[in-house]
Amino acid sequence: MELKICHLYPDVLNLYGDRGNILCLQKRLEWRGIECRVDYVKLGEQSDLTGYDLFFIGGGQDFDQEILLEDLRTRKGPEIGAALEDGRTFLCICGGYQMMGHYYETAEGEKCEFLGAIDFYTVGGKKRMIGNYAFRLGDESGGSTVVGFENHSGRTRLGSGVRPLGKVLKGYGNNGKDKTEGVRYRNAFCTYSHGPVLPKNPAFADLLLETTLRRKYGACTLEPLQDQFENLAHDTVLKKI
Amino acid sequence: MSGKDSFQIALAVTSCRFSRLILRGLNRGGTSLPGKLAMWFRRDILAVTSEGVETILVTGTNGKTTTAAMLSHAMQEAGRAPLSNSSGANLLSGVTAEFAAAADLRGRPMRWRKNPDQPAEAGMGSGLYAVIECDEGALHHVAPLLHPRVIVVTNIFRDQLDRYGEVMHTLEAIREGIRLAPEAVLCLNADDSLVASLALDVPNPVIWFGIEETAVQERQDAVNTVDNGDRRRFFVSAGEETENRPLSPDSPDKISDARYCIRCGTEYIYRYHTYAHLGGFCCPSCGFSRPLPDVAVTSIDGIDTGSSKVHMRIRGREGEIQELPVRIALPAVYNIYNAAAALTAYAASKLPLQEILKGLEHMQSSFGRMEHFKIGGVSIQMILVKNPAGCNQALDYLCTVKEPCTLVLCLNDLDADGHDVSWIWDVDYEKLSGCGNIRRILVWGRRAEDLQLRLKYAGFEEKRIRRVPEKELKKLLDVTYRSQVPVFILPNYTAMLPLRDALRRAAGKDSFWKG
Repeated sequence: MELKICHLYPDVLNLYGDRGNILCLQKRLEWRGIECRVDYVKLGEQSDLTGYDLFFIGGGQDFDQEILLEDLRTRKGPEIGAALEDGRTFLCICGGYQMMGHYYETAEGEKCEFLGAIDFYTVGGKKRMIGNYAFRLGDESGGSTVVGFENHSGRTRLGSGVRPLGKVLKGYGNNGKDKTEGVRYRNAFCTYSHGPVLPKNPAFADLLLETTLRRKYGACTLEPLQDQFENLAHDTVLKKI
Repeated sequence: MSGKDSFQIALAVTSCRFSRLILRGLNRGGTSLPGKLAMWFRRDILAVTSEGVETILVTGTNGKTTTAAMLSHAMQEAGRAPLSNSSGANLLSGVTAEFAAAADLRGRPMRWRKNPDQPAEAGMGSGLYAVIECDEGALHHVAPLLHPRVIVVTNIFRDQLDRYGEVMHTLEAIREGIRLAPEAVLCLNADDSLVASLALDVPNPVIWFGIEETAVQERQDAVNTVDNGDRRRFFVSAGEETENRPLSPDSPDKISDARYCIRCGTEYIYRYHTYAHLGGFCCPSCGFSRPLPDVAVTSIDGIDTGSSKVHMRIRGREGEIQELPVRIALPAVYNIYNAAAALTAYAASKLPLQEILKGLEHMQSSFGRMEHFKIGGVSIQMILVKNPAGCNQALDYLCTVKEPCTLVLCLNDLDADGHDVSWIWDVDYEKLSGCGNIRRILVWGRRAEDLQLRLKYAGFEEKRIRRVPEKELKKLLDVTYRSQVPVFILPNYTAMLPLRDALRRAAGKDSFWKG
C-alpha cells in the first residue's frame, strides 16, 4: 500500500509548525509499514493534482495570503475543487481552512473572494481569538476529543448544507458564538486548530489515514501504535484548559 | 520648569529608586514595577531622565541582549560606564526604570561614569552613554522619549506568534518606532530582506552590516581542509547529502519568513544563504536587493565552542576601506552577526573602533546566552532559545560539539514565553538525531510532554528521552550535576529563570540585576 500526500503551498502556508502534521502522517504510515510519498506543490507551480490521495493546506500570514489568491484563482482552484468532490482527503488548517469557503470579509468591509469549494464564509473581527482549546469530533468523524491552539480573528459561519467538524468543549472555535468548530464536508477536515493538530491527537490522525486508505484500497483497519507520548501530550493540554 | 514639574519629577525618581531598593531587598529583580511607578507620577519621565545621554538602542527578534552586552562591555572596559538594561527588562517600564533610578532628584542623569577623566570629545558629545535593548513591540513607545542616537535592528524572524502576531506586524511595529526617531542613525542587517526594507522611505542615515558570500564559501573550504572526512555544519544545510551547504532556497518544506519580495511579491533569488532567510537576496522583478554592507564579514577563519575568528571589512565615513581580523569570545554563527552589529553601532556612534574590537575579544556571555557554569567538575552551558531561528542556530552549534554530551531541553508556556508552543515543530530537531555525540536527552518544563513528543517524531528512540516533571526541578539539577559529560541546557525564557538561578547559586555567581 502507498499513500501520496500533497502539501499545498508549503512556501506560503507554513505558520505555527504546520509541517508537523505532514511529519505525523508520514511517521504513522512508516511505523505501520505503509509506503508514503510527499510532494510539495508551491505557489506558481502548475502541477497535476489528480494523483494524490491526501492534501494538506496550512495557515499563513496575511501578506502571503494575498499573493496566494491569484494563484488559487488562475491555477489550482478548479483542480482542488475537483479532488474534493472526488472524495480525496483534505486537512485544511486556519488560513487554509478559510480559503476553502466562499469569501473572507475584513473588519473594514473589504471582501476577498475565495475558492467556494465548501459552503461557508468568514468575516474578520476586531478581537483575535487566541488560546489552547478543545473540541469533540462529530460522530461521523469518530467522536474523539481534539486539543489544539487557535489564533484567528476571522469568524466563520457555516452554510446550512455542511456540518461542523466538531463541537467546542473549551475555547472559541469557528466564531466564539455557536460552539461549532471547523467543517466536515465529504472527506475534507477543516479546523482552526494548529499546534500542529495531528501529533497530539493520534485518533484524529489515524482517522485521516483510515479514510484515505479506505477510499483507495477498500476495507482497511490500521494496526494500533504505542501512543503513550501522544496521549500524555494530549492529556496535559486538556488538563490546562 | 514649574514647581509642579520639579515636584513630579522628584517624586517619580524617588519612587522608582525606593521601590527598586525594596524589591531587591526582597531578592526580586524589581525591573519593571519601579518604572511603572515613576511613569505614574510623570508620564514622560524617560524623556526627562535621558536628556543629553548618547544612547544606542538595539532591537530585533534575536541577538538583542548579546549585541547590547557586546556594546556595553566594550564601553565599560573603555571607562565610559554606560547605563544599560542588562537584566532584559526591555519594555517601556523597564527602560524607564533604568534611567529614572540613575537620575538625580531634578531628573538629570547623574554622572554614572566611573571615570571622570575620560575625554568627552572622543566620540559622542555629553560623555554620558547608554546601551538599551528594546522589545520590537515597544520601540514605538520607547524611541520618541529616548531619542536614541543609534538604532540597531539585528534581524526579524517568526517569534511568539500569539504575542507579537505575524512577522509582518513585528516589522511594521519597528517601522513605526523608526518613524518616531527620524534623527537616529540606523544600523541594519543587510542580509535580512525584512530589516533591509526598513530603510525604504525614511530620512535616517543608514549603515549596513552583513556576512559576505566569500565568508560562506571560505568557511566551507576551511572546514574541509581541517576536518577532512568529518565535515561540520556551520550553516543550515539543505539535506543530509549536502551537509556543508547553506540552506537551499529550493528546499520547499524549509521555513522561510521572507520568501517573497516585500515590495512587489515576486520570489527572491538568493546568491547564497547564511541561515534561515538571511543571505544575498535579490528580487528579479523590482530589483530590491541586499545592500552593500559597510561592515562586512569577509571570512570566517575558525569557530570553536568558546570563540570565533573572522575578518571584517569596514568602510569608513570618507569611503576608506580597512580589513581587520576580529576575535569574538563567543561561539556560533549568529554571534558573528551580533558582533558585526555591535561594531557597526560603534562606528555609527563615532567611537574608537579599537574599543569594540577589544571588547569583543574579552566579552563574556550574558544572562543565559551561551553562559558557562562549572559545577562540581561538570561543564554546563546554557543557551536561551525562544523561536525556531534561534533554536535551529543553537542546534547547529551543538552539532559542531564533538565530545559526548547530555542535552537538557526545557519548554514553558507562560505569558513571557507565549502560550503557543507550536514553534517547536518548526525547529529541525531531526538534525540532532544525526549527531552521534548526544548521550541522553532530558526534557523539563510546563510543556515537557510536547517536547518529548516532538523528539519522538524527530527520530529519537523513546527510551533515550527522560522527562522530569515540572515540579521536580531539584531532580533535574541532581541529574545535571551528576553528568559524566558536558551538559547543554536549552530553555525558553521563563524556564531559564529558575534554572539559571539555581546554577548561579551552585556556581557562586551574582544575580543578574547586580550586573
